[in-house]
Amino acid sequence: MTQIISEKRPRQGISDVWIGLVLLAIGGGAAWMASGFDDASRPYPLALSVLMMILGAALSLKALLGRGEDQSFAHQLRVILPAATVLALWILALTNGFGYLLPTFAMEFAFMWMCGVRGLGRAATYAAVVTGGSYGIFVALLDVRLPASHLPWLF
Amino acid sequence: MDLIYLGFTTLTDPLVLLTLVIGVAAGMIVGSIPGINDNIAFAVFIPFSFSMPPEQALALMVGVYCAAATGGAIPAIMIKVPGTASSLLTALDGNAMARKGAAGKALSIALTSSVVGGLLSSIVLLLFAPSLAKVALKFGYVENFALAILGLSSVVGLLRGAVIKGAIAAVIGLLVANVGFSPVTGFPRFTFGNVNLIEGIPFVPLLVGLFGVAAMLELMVDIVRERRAGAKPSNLPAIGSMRLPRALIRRLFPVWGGSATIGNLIGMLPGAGMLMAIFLAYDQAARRFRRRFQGKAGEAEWGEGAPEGIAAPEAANNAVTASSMVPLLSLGIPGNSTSALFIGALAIHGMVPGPLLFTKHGHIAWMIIVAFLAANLIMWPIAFAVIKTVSQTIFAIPKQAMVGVIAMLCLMGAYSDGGNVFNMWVAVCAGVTAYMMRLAGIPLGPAILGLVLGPQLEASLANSLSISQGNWLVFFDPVAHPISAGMMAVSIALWVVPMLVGRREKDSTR
Repeated sequence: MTQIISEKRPRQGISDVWIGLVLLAIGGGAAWMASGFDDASRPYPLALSVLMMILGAALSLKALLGRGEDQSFAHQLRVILPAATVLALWILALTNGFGYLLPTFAMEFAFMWMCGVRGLGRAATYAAVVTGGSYGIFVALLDVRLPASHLPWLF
Repeated sequence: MDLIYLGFTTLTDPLVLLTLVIGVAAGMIVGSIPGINDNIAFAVFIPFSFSMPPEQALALMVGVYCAAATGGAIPAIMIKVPGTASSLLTALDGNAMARKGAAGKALSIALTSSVVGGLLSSIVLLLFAPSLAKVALKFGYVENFALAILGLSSVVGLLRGAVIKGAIAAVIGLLVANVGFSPVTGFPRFTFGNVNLIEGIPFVPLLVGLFGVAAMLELMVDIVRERRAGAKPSNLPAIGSMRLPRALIRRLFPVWGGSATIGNLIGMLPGAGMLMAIFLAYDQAARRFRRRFQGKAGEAEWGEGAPEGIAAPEAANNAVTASSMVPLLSLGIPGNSTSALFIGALAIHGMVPGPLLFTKHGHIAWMIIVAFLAANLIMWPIAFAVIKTVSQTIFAIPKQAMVGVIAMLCLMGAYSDGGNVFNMWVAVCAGVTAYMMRLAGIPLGPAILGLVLGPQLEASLANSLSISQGNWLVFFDPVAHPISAGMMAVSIALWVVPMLVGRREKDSTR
């Protein structure tokens, strides 16, 4: 029975329905914000926001009619969310005065580990080389001023 | 002819020539670092030129300017992270070709195309600089709007059936370009009260995120998938042979010619920028590829390693570097942001670009023009040496270790553009968004073009309608604005012709 139902009503286009609805919401939000702009600055962003809503609705409608694409994002999200979190923690550490070397080493080590570099010594060596190399390129060679550090003895 | 000879004589001073070679090598290496765009590469070397005589200083800057655009292709091909914004389209077919084991061939196509595009453009600069500048002067608001529409229309050829998602991408780009002060009244729009957004979303970090961080996430997902499937982790593509078959060179000649022409024309227009040139060239090459090679035995799909997909943007971006000097040297109007930095380099040595430069400092003005030609001539061997030494060492790093390297290079590159931590957040958010867009099947190309053209589109539309008392037909007026009318006609053709061809193909298959 389940099989018959799934044959009659394939899940094709489910992700496109959601993507269309998200775009519809973003377009709606942008249109609401644009309506508060002054007279001369309003028409262009408002027109684009409405166009975004129309296109989002069209995408959802097309998917509901069975001509959309379906994608599962679960596997990718399990990888990119931890990666984005590591990057966010690194930026927060840089912003909050933890210096460059220690947070960068920790970030590099985390990426090595997540990508399957095994053995503490090996992962730490790679992380140390990349951290030192980046410091050499950006700070010593290109003279980039790093965010202020509360740990100046750690650069 | 005497003036050109004067330029050659100035350039052939051994020290001037040496600084040009140093500039090319340094620009190539710096340009190949993801996130360090042409502007940053140029700005990094300006301080070095302070203490030099003007001939040496400007030869150094010409070398850096030309080579940075070319160097950006190296990481674009090897790790799908464009070194500079000008190589963002090179990353698509270039990296696909590299993943198929032909990284050397992809790099060679990119370098040869850059050199050919740069040489053709230098010759145009040498012969026609003063007369071409007069054409650029005819571009007003109406023509700029038509040019932006032409740029946006160029993506139609890249959509291949995904029209709704392509249009969504373009609207996303145009909408994001609205963030910041309104170009009409200065009203802050979509800033959420954040001062960092008042001048708009910073462009370099945005590009670094859209391409670099997204490529890093893609690489990481691949590695984790391989690991979970129990497969042995593969390394980054080996560079291998860089020899180009003669048949391929013959095949790419028309692409180089067409793309260099587009680069020359766009480069001369103040404000049009390099990105529009590479998109237009890429679109033209895509149409040619589909007409002549798509579906034939041994041919890759477009975007999956087509040689034309590497040759077109690389020839166009290097053509822009020299042609952007046409309005700068002749009229004092910069063709793009990097050539604007040239004004600073000249000012340091007490020179002002424009007609007076040719009368007061003729030997310098013509040396700069000749130096563009020379820089492109020496680029190939220097690029070859850089790839075989510096790049080979960098890309020998295991793939698992490369993820962290790319992440750090991208975010530090984003941070370097103004020394602002906010740029890092922009890069991370843009990277995650771009990756999600890719998963959702929403193409990135139209979004980038929307981002680039958005401000120009709105400002030129508002000003055109203002001066024409709201007359929308001003853009189609063949008498008062023939250039605009021509560009609008080409834009309409870019939309209509593929539809008619598609309908005819559908009818013939019935």
